Amino acid sequence: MMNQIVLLDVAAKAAEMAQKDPYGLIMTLVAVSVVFFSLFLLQLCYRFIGWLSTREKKPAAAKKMPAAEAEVAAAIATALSLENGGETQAAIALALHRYLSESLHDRESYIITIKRK
Amino acid sequence: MDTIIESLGQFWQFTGFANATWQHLVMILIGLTFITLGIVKEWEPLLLVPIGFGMIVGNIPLFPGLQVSIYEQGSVLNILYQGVRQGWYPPLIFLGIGAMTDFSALISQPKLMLIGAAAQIGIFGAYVLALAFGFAPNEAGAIGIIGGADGPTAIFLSSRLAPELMGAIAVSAYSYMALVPVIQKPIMLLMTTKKERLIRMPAPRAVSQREKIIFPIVGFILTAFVVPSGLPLLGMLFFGNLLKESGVTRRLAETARGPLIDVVTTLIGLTVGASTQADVFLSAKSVKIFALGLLSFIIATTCGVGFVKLWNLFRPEGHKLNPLIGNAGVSAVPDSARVSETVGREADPKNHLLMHAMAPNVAGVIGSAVAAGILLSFLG
Repeated sequence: MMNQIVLLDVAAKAAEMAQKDPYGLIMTLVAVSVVFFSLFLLQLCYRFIGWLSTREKKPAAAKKMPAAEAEVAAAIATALSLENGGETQAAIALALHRYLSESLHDRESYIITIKRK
Repeated sequence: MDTIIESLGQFWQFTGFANATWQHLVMILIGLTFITLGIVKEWEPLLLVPIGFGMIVGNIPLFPGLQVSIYEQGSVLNILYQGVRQGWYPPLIFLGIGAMTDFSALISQPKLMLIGAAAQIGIFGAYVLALAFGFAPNEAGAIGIIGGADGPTAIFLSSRLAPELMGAIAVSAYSYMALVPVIQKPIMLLMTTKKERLIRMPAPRAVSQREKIIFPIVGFILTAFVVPSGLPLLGMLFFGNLLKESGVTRRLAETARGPLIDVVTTLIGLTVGASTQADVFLSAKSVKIFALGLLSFIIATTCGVGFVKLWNLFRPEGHKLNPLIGNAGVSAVPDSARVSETVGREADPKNHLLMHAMAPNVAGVIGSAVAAGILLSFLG
């Protein structure tokens, strides 16, 4: 019974559509616009969520270059620009050493240990 | 002796041999072809094998009144068929699809969603053509959805709009889905230049788990608000994906993408196949439906590739998209994305397009469900 009612409803709507839009062009225009609108809206949302997410992911260090990192960069840049044989290697090595030993920490332990004599 | 002969004669009248017509034999032959394609060629075997066998089941010549035919109320097959007829199975399949689909490619490159929208023009192109072929608007809507390249959506919509055409529509949709590599490749090659096929796209960014969890919730709310009539499909698709990504409902996700989808796929394939009884299926309408189905796939592929080419006109050099991902806007996941990868690698063996093509591909699933919702709200 319910099926018959539903099918009658479908037939009535189909007859109405056949009268209003015999070639289906209005339907096509409206439907394609709605599909595009839906997915456009969705992509806007995900772009925003993605933007928020990547913004959060950036480490604090990347937002503002800390002094230690700036020094490293400057040392490497200077050494490379001078291109002065052994000094270049020494500067790069020093810069890398300082960078690795001093600033490559994303989390400090905050534990101080005292070694007794 | 006479009684024995009379009894045997009576029994003969009950057998399939006495009731067979050439139409039954043709349908059984089509069923056998489907099974062969599924097993030998491995074209969509999970669908073609059950559908093919279902076709044989549905076309065993029967003596009327045996209460075994799929169209006889109360028969076992009829009860199983209610899942198709009332549209219960497609949303359950969508639940499984949601639980097995990784939307990362789409989340990392949301702009590619628009390709999924462009490919849906195939649905409405076929709708216009079906009207021109003399179909009523509700029938044209049900036929048009074949262009979405999405079997469950095609079954869901045709069960609501034109149940008498559902068998032909479902078989047409699944057949062309199995033939995606054959249909799409020549169109892609025809529409793109060698230079375009060589375009490389940057690797998509990594997506956080939080984004993956937000995706189904936002996606469902937005799409369901725009097209509430697509609720059963969209709701189940995004719910399944939330089960997958939440990280705390692994058992439910595994059931949805494993045993549940397997059971429903078996039942939907078998009953859709069985619904193609010769007297209903073998008609001029079915031939037209197959022709329109093919056209809708061609239009969808053309629009997807054409849209990327058009879009590239407005994109700066170095940020162009490879038009070979345009075909993946249809929702045959992941077959059409695989076609993008294959054709892309034929042009440049080191250019991998699969990850990029997966974005419009899964957008196509959402797009076809939205399109079905629109057709349902206008015609249902």
